Order: sequence, then C-alpha cells, then structure tokens
Amino acid sequence: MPLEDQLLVERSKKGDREAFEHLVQLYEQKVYTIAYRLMGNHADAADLAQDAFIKIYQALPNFRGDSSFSTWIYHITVNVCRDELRKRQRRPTVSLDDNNSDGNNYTYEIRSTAPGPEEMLDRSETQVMIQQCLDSLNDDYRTILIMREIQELAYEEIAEILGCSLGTVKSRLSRARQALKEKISKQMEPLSPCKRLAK
Amino acid sequence: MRCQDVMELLSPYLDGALATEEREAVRLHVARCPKCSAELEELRACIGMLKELPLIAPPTGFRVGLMEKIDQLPSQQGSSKDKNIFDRVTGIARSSWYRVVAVAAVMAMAVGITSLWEKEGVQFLPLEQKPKGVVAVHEPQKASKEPPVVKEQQPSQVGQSSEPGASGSKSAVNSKGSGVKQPDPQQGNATVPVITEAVKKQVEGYVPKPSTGMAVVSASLRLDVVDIEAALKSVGSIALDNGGTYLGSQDSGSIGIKVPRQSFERVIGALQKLGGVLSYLPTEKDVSVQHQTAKAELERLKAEQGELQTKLTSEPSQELERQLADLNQALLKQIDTMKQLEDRTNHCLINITLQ
Repeated sequence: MPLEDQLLVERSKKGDREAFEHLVQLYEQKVYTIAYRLMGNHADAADLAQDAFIKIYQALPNFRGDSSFSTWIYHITVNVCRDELRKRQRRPTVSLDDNNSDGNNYTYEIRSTAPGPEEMLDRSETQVMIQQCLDSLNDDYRTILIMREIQELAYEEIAEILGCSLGTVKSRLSRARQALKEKISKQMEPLSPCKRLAK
Repeated sequence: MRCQDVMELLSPYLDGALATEEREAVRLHVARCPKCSAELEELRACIGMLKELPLIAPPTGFRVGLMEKIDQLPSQQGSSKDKNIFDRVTGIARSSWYRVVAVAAVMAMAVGITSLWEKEGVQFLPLEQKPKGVVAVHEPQKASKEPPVVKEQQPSQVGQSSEPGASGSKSAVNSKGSGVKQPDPQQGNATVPVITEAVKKQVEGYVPKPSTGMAVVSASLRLDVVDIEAALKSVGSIALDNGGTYLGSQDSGSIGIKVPRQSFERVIGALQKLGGVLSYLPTEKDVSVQHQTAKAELERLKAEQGELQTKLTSEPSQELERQLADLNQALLKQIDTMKQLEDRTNHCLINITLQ
C-alpha cells in the first residue's frame, strides 16, 4: 500500500474526517466507474458509490491490510452493486445524461487522453456501444468482466470475492467474454465493415 | 485438439492462465486453424475495447453529499451502542455464558415443577436420586461441591460470588453490582467515552481564528468590453492564475469568481484592464462580532460537554448519554459553521458583468 494511503487509512481509523475525505478523493473515480459499469446509469452509480464509501468508512476499523487498500475497497464496491442487482433482479437501463434521483443536475465528465475531435467522437460512440453491450449481459457475466478487465483482478482474487472455485472463474469468464464478443459483433456489423472488432 | 475444445481455452489462454502443455496445444492449433485464429483475435480485440473504457468522474457534489451522509452516521467506534436491539439480543444469545445460564434455567424449572408434585404427595423423583446439578439448586450449603455454573444460577447467590473462576458468568448475572468504573459491555454507557474521544479530537484539532478585523469582502464589477466571449475567457484565466475558482455564469455576460483574500486587489486590477469600468462596487462586511459570538457559543458547548461527561461517569444513564450525543452533534455543527465563516473571510466573491 502506498505510504500516503497507509497514513490516510490510519488517520481515518482514528476518526479523522479530513483524512477519510482525502481517501475518497483518491479513489472516487475508480469506485464510481466500477459502479457505473455495473449499474449502467449515473443515478444508480452515484447512489451506490456513496453507499460503498459509507460501508468502507464503517468497516475501516476492521481493515487490517491483509489485501491492498484498493483491492479491499473495490471488493466492497462490487459487493454493494451486486447486492443491489440481486435485489432488483432486472436489467438496468442505460442513460448517459440522466438527472440524479435527488433532483440535482449533475455534470459528468469522461476522462480520455485528449484525442482529436473525430477520434473523440468515434471513441465516444464506441464506448457508449460497449457499455450498452455490457448492460445487456446478465449480472454474473457483467460482474466478472468488470472485475477482470476494469479492476484487473487476478483469477484467485475473483474466486475469493465471488466465493467460487478457480475453475468456475475460468469458465464463467470465458463464457462472459464470448457473450460480450457476440453482442459487440452484432452491434458493429450493421454499421460498417471496416469497424470490425480487430483493429 | 478439436476447435470446440480450443475455443473454450482461448479466454484463459489470453490471460496466460493455462498450464504449459495446454498453452502449447492451443498455440499450435491456433497457428494452423484460421477459424480459431480469427476467434482469438476477435476476443483479444473485444477485451482491449473493454479495457479502454475510460474512468468516469463522479458527478459534481458527490463527495460533499457523501461526507454529509457520513457526518450523520452514529459514531462508528461505539460498536455496541450502534447495534440495534435485535443485534444486541442476538449477540447475548450467541454468547457462551448465555447458553450455560439458559441450560441451568431450564433445569431449575424442571426441578421446580418436580418439587410441586412432591408437595401434593406424589413423589415422582426421590431427592436422593436427583442428578447432582439439579440437587445443588435446592441445597445451597452443598454449592461448593457442585459445578460453579449451576451454583451461580441461584438467586440467593447473585452478587456474592467471589470466585475468580466464575467471572465469565458473573458479569452477566451480576450486572447491577458491577462498579461504574468497569462498565458492563452490555450497557450503552460503555461507548460514551469513545464517542466523546472522537468528537474531542475534532474539537481540539480546530483552533478558531482571531475574530478581530474579520470581514467578508466581495465586489461587483461592470465592464464594457469589445468581445464578451474573449473577455469571459480572460476572467476565468485571471481567477485561475490567482489561485481562485470559476463559479460559472448566471446569464450571458455575467460571471462569478472566487479568489483568495490576499489576491483580491491584484485580481480587481487585472479585471479592470479587460475593458472600460462602468461600475465598481466593493463591499466589506464586518463579521468579527458574528465570529466572536460563535466562538463564545463554542466555548459554552465545550464547557457543557465537560460537565455532562463528568456527570455521566458518576451517574450513567441513557438520558445523559442521549444529551451528550446531542451535545456532540451541536459541537461539530458549531465548528462547521465557524469554519465556513472563516473560509468566507479567506476568499472573496467577485461578480463581473460584461457588456
């Protein structure tokens, strides 16, 4: 764990509000992104990312540092979202410029490495399409893809978080990737033959 | 290896998660099978696209809202206080002493019923044949020979056990007899010092600024400019260059900025160079009295907290706990208000209208 994180975690454990706020600042983007990728809309992502941070705050005194702090908080985030998805048992709808449920008009930013305008537009369209494909997968597939490709967790870590065997992780991930590939292919084929998957 | 088998291994193959033999078999198959090779490339591209998805910044106000929610949480360090009644009861029911006491209670009831039968002249179970533990309930004089667990269940002995080995059960049975300085973990007052400690840290960590000369400075500036768009951009740059922030425009041509107090004069000077000054209205509101009053209130709350804490140590009660919790909240709120006021004096708001 980076020294800065370590100090902030220690101070937060002792009830230092500012230290915890600093931790939130460091990790809010990643936590929010995971929530958004899993839920597919900003209103849910904002609510659940906040819930995740509240859980993190409450569980902080029990954090012993067995895993890295980032792995620990991403784990909590995934669990909070999975619980919500289980509760709903329905597919979330995608909305990239929705208003928050509390009535606030939030502004959203998408970080990128500042490509040219045309590439930006193209990239943005592709990203929206990928998110739509992700949303159309079942919860298990979407979760495992996010854990592996976005959180970049090892198979062992995924198995631990999901409470399943390594074999299950391998096979589920394989099926999830296959399913995503098929969805993306379907989306891309009608657009243009040059926009085939292989770049 | 058949294509179907290879397809299933492509995903772990891409992650390098296959054993050497399998990996080699897949590699060889893909090298000579165009279909599987294409499949592998598509899968690789698909994963790449997913990995390329950007990070998304949370909405404006996300962190502020979150911290407000966190401030409203009960103190996380007061574990037993925060538990609801169900959790507490469940916790008690799970503890080992509870099980022992429960078993003993059932046995005592059984004996009670049996002795009633005896009084009515029907002796179902002669005393001498009773199991050891059960006999002890009715014969305190034999208590020392019996297992301590059963002995402690006797009402006559509550509060008088002096056996060190019986301490585990004693705290449960003898809760009223325990000293104030050793709060029972099952009672709410055990958490009070912890909550106060957390608040204390925040209170001690905050040092109010001197109230003398404290003022909130703001200004309203109306400028006649050639190019409004260009001027708006310049205003934003001036704010940023001086450590300030751009607050946005309320309508076309009107813009708000917030700059550090020490940069105020410099910023005003730079803004006035953007065009002809039609009007300039600086205001300075003295808030020293307001700050002084807030400081006095803070001191009063601190003193009250100290008194309440002392009282609570000598006479623990739920009502006092509640009062202390309320007071702690009021203290934190007061500090927050003062910090906000101090922040307002550290920065200046400038409203610029361009035409």
